[in-house]
Amino acid sequence: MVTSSTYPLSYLTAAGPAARPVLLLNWGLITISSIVILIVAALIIGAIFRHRTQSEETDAPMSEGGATSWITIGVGISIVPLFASMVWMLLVLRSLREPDDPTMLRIDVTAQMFWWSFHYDDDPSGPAPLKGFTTANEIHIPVGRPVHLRVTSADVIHSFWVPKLVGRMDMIPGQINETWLQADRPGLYRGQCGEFCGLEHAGMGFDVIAETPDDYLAWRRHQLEAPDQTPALQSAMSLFDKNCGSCHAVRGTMAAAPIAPDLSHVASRLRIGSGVLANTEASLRLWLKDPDAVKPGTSMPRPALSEDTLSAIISYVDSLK
Amino acid sequence: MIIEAVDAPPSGDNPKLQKIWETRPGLSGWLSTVDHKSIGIRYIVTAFFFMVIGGLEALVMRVQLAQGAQNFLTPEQYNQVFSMHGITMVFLYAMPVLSGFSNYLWPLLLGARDMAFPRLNAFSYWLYLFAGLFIYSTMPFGQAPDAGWFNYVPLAAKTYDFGLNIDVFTLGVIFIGLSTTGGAINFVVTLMRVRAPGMSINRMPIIIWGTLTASLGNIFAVPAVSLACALLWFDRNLGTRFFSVDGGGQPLLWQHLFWIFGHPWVYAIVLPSMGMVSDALPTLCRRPLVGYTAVALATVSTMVVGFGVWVHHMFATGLPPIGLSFFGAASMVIVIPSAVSVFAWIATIWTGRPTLNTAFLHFASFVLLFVIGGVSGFMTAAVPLDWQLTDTYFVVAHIHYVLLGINVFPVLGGVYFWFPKMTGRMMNEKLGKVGFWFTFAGFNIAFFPMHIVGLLGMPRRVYSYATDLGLNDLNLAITLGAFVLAIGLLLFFWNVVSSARDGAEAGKNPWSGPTLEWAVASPPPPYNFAVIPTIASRHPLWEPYLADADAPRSMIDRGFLLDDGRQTLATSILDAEPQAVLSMPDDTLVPFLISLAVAALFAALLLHGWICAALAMLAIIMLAIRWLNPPQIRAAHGS
Repeated sequence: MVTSSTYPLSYLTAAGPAARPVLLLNWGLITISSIVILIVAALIIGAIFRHRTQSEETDAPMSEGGATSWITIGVGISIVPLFASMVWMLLVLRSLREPDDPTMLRIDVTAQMFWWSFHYDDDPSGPAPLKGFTTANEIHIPVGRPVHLRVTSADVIHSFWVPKLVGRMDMIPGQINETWLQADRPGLYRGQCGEFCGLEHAGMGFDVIAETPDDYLAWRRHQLEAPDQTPALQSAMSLFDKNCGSCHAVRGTMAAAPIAPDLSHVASRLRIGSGVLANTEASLRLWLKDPDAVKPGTSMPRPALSEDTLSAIISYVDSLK
Repeated sequence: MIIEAVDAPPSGDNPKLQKIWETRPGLSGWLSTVDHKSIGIRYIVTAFFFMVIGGLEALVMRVQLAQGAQNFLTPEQYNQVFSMHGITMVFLYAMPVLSGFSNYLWPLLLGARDMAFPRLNAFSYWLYLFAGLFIYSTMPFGQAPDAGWFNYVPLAAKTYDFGLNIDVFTLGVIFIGLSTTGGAINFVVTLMRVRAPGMSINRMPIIIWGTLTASLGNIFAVPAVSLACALLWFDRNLGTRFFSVDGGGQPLLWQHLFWIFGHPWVYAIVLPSMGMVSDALPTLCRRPLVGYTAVALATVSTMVVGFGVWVHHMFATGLPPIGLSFFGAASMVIVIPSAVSVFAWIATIWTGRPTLNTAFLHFASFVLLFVIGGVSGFMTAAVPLDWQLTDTYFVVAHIHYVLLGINVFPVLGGVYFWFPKMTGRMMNEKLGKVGFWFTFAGFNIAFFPMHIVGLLGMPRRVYSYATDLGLNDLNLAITLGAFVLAIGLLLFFWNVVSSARDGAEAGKNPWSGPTLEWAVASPPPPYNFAVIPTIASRHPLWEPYLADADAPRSMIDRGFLLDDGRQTLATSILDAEPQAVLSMPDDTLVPFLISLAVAALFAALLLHGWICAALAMLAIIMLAIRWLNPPQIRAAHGS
């Protein structure tokens, strides 16, 4: 079971090579900045209080003379950490170049108000080639292997951001931006939209689950399987197809529309509504009863369902492990 | 005609000049005055009015964000409130309040009777007021701008935002841009034409350098945003496709145009206030500013470099790394001129004899807040780090340290410092200090933790946040800090109101200041100077202490009288040699009326009332003809 950290969106712990050099730079610049602030604060306080002991009998202004050495010395000293930081910044920028790794996993990410579509490319690198597939709002990646991401948007500008793994890359309609990430240890890493994108910008998250290569392979193979079609669920499935299938897709069934998040194996995901609710039967019911109340601005219409239909659809969706 | 220098009357009063320059009584006089002092105070009062509105919006947001997952505001309400907060503070408070100070102070500092273009000055003010009201006009109908003050497309395109929200933004920004541009041109020409004889450019107070630099910056920067807004308005209303991908447009074009304006603008709304500190702080330290030339050059170079850093708002847009490196490095270089000014201020305090009054406290804390805001800006200039920091609360902390630290604190200090000149009364020191500590503490409690919640990953521009992000406690502290800050500002406003009524008499020069504004009565007479002074040094009123015994002295009480109608002296650009007597316009209703017509034009464009728009345009043209043919000229041609 993967667990989240205390501060799931904090980048103050880095879990991969696309984030770690930045974190070092961060602490370096925070240190420099803090020292500068402390020195300036000390100088100001000192400048004020060194006069408290002097007698102040005269109000007459003093002559202009001298003291410009403060500027030359002060600026001279400031320039040293300034240029050092500049060089460090450029070195970090260079170190973040994508590794040249032929086994790199490739994922196309398309953001839209207010969820994420992920398309895994065919993966010919292993002994048995793996077919590509589409999923939504949650990705699994193998630890230790770089992931190349091609990101874009289907509507307004969003930004791809997994703080513990990689900084932002904007997702701009009509333009494909590329970035990469890699997780060095298994874990749950949260992603969040990094550019204001409208009503539910706040609730536009996703999950990155990094796992061992074997777990990842098992997950990926499972993703390609069609759902179990026990006879008991047949009628529920047809209700789902009828009510939900014109927007959603479930691989291996009649439902194949690409408009809304792909729901293949949705029951195995950690959260629903692109990160706004934990994936439980209760929250699914809450969501289906009034999506807009859970996530204002969502494009999902409020389905007009009888209580029986609702329960049947929930039981079907919960079966999509 | 030969004019000769005369002595000013010992009292400094001149009834004839008084009659020539004073504003007529009554409403029509009030609406038609072109006196820079009235206009300056109006700018300041209006800016504070908008600041209170923007501040209330901030408090409403902080209530919503005090804890995660609250429903005090709906997402749509929140988006409108945060957008209006930004628009208000950036466009309707920060720049206008500085225009107010500069308007009030410039002619007094320069030894002139008014700005070079008094009617343009009144026009700029009325445009500003009406633009502000215009931008707020759709809020009561729930259709205020809701895509942020940065208003990125395609979110702001008609497809995704089809109400009046964005139309009022685009038109409103063009509207206020007219005011800013008019004001900026006026400052530049005033500087070039109406300085007192002898005030060569190396003798100008630093606030003049600050406002001049900001004005030149505005003249180059504002057209970019006006163009962007016009193109977006065309896209939304006339079916063009400048920003739409489907039509071959490019969303990033908006970001470039916006930030080519936006970043220089950030400097434009801090350089004049830095100038205020560079003049007022030395006065309170009883010595001239350390490194005048260095600070003046730092002011100008900040602006110049400021035009080459706009891409640091776009580090995550997928631009090539080589370009990002350049813009990152350029952004860091701004540290150098900033460091020049900071060390100049510290050295001034260190080597001077500071008077620890309320104004001084604001200025001294400004230096510290400037540095805190500066180093966090330096962090965000580091390209790869910015990919993590941008769009988190770290940047919110940064801009508030910069904008409150470098704009609000100097402005509050500036009010304490120049209030005696404007009203003739001192502000209450005891109340002032209490207010200062509330403001200072509240500010830091509210904004310092924002750095930390930003590092912990709190995205900005969110109407709420999940309770499992670990951000609840710090956000509660931030909200409490915001209310403490609000108390501090309330005490300040109370101090202004009560001191205006029964503050102690200030006299001409309560701080024993060195510059010309302190040579005239408080409040100054409508004509400012009974005679045009002649300047021999940077600190005319401190010459008895500073100047060599045989050095030429400034003449305050002897100079040209210029009382044949409204007149002031024109001088040369660099050395301020007398060149001509300028005939200045009388009070007139035309700037007010033409602004009303401009407001009608924008309202008509907003509502697609094309016939009304044509009529308003016609009115503007007729009034412009009237403007160019004032009564003086008609009288002159008639005689």
